[in-house]
This record gives sequence, C-alpha cells and structure tokens, in this order.
Amino acid sequence: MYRYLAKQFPSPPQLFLVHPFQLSRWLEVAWAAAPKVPLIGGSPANEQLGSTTVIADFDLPELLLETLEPGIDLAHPGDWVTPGDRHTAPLLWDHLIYAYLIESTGVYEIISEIVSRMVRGDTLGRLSPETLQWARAMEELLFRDPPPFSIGSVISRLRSDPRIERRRAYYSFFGFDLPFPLPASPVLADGGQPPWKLDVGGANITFQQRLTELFGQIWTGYENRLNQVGANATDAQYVGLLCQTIDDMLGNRRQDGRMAREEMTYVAAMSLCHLTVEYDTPVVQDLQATATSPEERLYKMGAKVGKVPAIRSRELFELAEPMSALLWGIELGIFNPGAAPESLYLPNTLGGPPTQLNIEVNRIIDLWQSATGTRVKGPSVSVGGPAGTKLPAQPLRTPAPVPDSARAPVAAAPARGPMVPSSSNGQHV
Amino acid sequence: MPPPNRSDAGPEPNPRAVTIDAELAGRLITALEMIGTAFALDEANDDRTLALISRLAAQGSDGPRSGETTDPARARAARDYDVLRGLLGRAGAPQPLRMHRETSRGGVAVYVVMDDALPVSARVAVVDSPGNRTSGPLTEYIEVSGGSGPPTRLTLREISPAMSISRIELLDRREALVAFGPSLPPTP
Repeated sequence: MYRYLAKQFPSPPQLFLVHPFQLSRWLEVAWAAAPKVPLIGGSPANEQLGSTTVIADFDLPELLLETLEPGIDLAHPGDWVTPGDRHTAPLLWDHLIYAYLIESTGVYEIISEIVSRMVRGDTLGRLSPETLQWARAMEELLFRDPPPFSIGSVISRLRSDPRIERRRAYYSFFGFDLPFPLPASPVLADGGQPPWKLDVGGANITFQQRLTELFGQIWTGYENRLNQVGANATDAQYVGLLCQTIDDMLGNRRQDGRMAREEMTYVAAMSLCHLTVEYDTPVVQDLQATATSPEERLYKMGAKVGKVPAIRSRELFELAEPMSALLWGIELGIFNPGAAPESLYLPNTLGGPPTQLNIEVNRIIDLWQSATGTRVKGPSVSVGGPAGTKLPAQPLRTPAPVPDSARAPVAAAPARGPMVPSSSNGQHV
Repeated sequence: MPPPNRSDAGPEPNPRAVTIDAELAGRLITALEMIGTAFALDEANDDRTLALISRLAAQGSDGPRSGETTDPARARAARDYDVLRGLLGRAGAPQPLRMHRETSRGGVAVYVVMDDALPVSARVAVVDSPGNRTSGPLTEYIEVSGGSGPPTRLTLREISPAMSISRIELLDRREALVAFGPSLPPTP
C-alpha cells in the first residue's frame, strides 16, 4: 500500500517526511479507489474481496471524504496541496499473504524495538531529523490506536492487540502461525490454545498442502512444456481444480466482505516496515545498517537491538510481492478450470518466449521450496554419475550472499529475549 | 653448518594439508551438476531456440505478428496477471493511469479523458464495455499518440454514456500492454 505511494515520490523514502495524519487519510482514498479496479478474469468487480459492495458499505460518503483530503505534495512531502478533481488511478492493496510473509521476517518486531528505544532514550545514538520523523510516523501509524471511524480502525477494546489480531487472520486464511512466539506476553489462553486460535471458527489448515501440490503440478507442466512425443504427466484441468480449491478456501474466509478492512490495514502496516528496509533510508543510515538487500539491512538493524530476523528472510522478502499477485490472480478465478490454468506454465504461443507470469511462477516455486524446505522441483537424471543415479536438479535452498552458518546469534545491546529462537508454535515458512 | 638463506616459497606443501571449505565444495559440485544437466537439455534448448528464431523471422522487425498461433485464453490470463502487477505497484509492470469520462453538451460526443501523460510507446487504446442487452459486449480500438497529454481525450463511437466501461488498456505497436485505466461507471 504505502510502498505504492512511496514510488510516486522522486525518492521513495521521502514518504516518511509526509505528515502521518496525511498518510492515514490516504488510506481512505485508497479504499475508495478499489472499485476502479478494471474487470479481471471475468469476475464482477471486487468479488475477490468476498462482496461486490464491501467498498461502498464501509467507505466515507463522498462529501465527507472531500472535507479532509490527504493533499500529499509529491514535490514537497512536508506540504499540503489543494487536490483538484480526485480521479485516482485504480489501486488494489496487496493480498494478506504479503503481510504474513513480511511479518514472518521479524521486521515488525525489530522496528518496534528500535522505535521503542528511540522514543524512550538515546541508546541508539544521535539521530538525524529525518530519522526522528520516521520514528514519529511509525509510532503514529503502527504502534498507537488508529483514528476512530477511519477505515483502518480495526483496534478496539474488543480486539486490543494488533499482533494477536494479525496472527488470527494469518491462521484463519492460511493455517499459518508466525515462526516466532509473541514477545513478552502469556501466549496460551484457555484450553492451552494461543489466543489467536480461539473463536476463530474455520481455518484453512490444509492451505500449505494444497499450495505445495499446486506448485508441484505447475512444475510438472513446466518440465513437460516442450514435450512433443512420449508421456506427459501434465494435467491442466487438475491445476485448475487446485486453483479453484484454494480460491474456495480463501473465499470462505472472506464471505460478504469480512476481513477486507483488516487485510488492507495489516498490509499497509507491513508495507511501512518493508519500505523502511527496502532502501538505505535515513534510519538505516543512522543505524549503520546500509546494505544491498532488505534482509541484510534488517539483520544489521536487528543487531543494534539484540534481535535476529528469520533465517529465511531473503526468500520471505522476495516472495512477498509475487505471492500477493499470484493469490489475487487465483482468487479472481484467472486460473480456474475452463479459464487458462496452463497459462501458469505455458507461454502464449507454442515454443514462444515465456510470459512474465511463467517467469514469476517459476521464481515463486524456487523461493517457496527454499523458504519452507519442501522440495517441489523433483530430481533429474545425472549425466556425470553412475547410471541411473538421481541427483537434484537444483539445490533446495536458493543461493544467499551470506551463508546460514554465518548468521550467528547477535550479542549486542541487551534485549528482552531472542525474537526468533525457534518455530515451536507454528509451521515454518 | 646452517642452511643457506633461501628466497623461494619455502618447503613443499603437504598435499594432505590442502583443504577446501566444505560449503564451497558443495556449491561447486552443485554447479557442476547443473552444467551437466544443461548439456543434457541442450538438444531441447536448440529446438526451442530454432522455434524462437523462426517465430521472430516470421514476425519481422515491426508490424503485426504472423506465422504463430497465440492462445487467446492464455494470452488473456497473462495480460490479466500483468494488470494485477500494475495494480499492486510492481516495478516494471504496466502503469495504472488516472482517467474519467466526459460527455459533450447535448450528449453528442462521449469521451474518456486520460488525466496522466500516456507512455511514449503507447499506440492504441482498447476500451471494453459490457454494453447493454441490445448491443452485447463492445470493444473500441482508438489510435493514440504515445507521450501526449495530459489530458488526452478518446472519442467513443459505440459505447454510450449509459454503458459502463469495464476495461481500458493501452498497447504498444507489438500489442504488449503498457498501461491501463480504471473501470468507469455509466455517466448520468
């Protein structure tokens, strides 16, 4: 969400120089722009949200919306411009899987510790004015209650902890827990269940199994895409059935537009965290954490406050965007049986160049098997080894510039405890 | 007698003492395996390259494609996916543009007005409408000048103000999607 807005600025980190109240108001405009999404996949507009009327059901009346426009000035981020006719471009927020994957890296917990130290004392040293503006924006937008009656107001006395509420959403949609426990809080509630599993109703426990099966089928199709003769195990309609199953699983959690506001709010929060480490932002520079990739910056920032991000952060950061687009595509029915499930692994023309979709799905499979440790791409025949020997076509894990063995626990400033000791309360992703 | 001073590299290294980092060794083996696999697939790759070359040869340097059969369902799905990437603000994806509808006085002319500058490579705008019961779905193709505007007005011939617009896409000369607009409701 906010990364979309950040890319409109000459330099994306300038987003943190915008007043947080304007950023908060921008969410209202973004919500109201959702009906402008062009028709995709033949589904009625916004059907992927569970209801075609959910945007109108919850948005502010137009005249009220116009009384307090965000007026973000892209040339001068600290100023306000009088908006003209509000013809916003079509915009869709990222899928909830984006929030899950980004939060799984540990970036939210590390940023919470950093902001906490910045606002309570000077243990992190001298900070630039831009970093202080960043800290203010993050505290306002992530760590305090949202403005009442706003679209992002999904915190109340009935659901007071956003960490628990996000975990509830992840568990409900994907059957996943975050790969680290809740920091410094009693995790178990009545019956020994974590609080986010209470009163959740249905949860898509088999989501990971179905998704991995889908990736396996896609890979089979990709491997056999050039077969002209001989056996071809590809079954496009089964790929479509798996897509439809996942579509139905997620749709059951969204009936009548439930969770649409929550999804947008959680995605927006995680996009701020992602944006912070996506570039050498002022806070990254002040903490001497400059690097060439988000996971390296996060690792260095975590070291300043004694926290270690998830070991597969690299894959998680890289997965977040393409997985978001793929799951939206599945929920829009683009790949259902009778549509074009084979478009996931076949180019548009026979023997033609791969489409962006083909390339991206292949990349997702690489990252997914590396992040989860579940092999999707099967073995191939070795040409150099003994006859009949099967060797892996590629390593399970994607290559990383820093080997895992070098990721030793950091002994830096005293911390409240290790953030990612294990994944005892959920499945690894 | 003490040995004479030596200026060479010293004693011969013990071959058993030369070690290689275990992880590096693993990566080297993996790389060699992949090279081997690549050789095994070389024949298939040659076929694919030949198919690609013949396709490009048939296509020529510009102009419409020929000598190939595009699967319309797959092409539509791939294009929908590109639109999704653009909606999510992905780098390198087609660009979402601001647009709105206007009607001239008396409703004689109907326009789609593009409030952002068009991408330089844009050549044609495709406007889709579900139409109404009598017309059925309508599609209009309108030539545009890349880089023009804002604003740029597209005059609609068949899609009336009472019909909603489901999709507006801007294509380059090779019919690749470069930008798209919003869905627009009927105008009052």
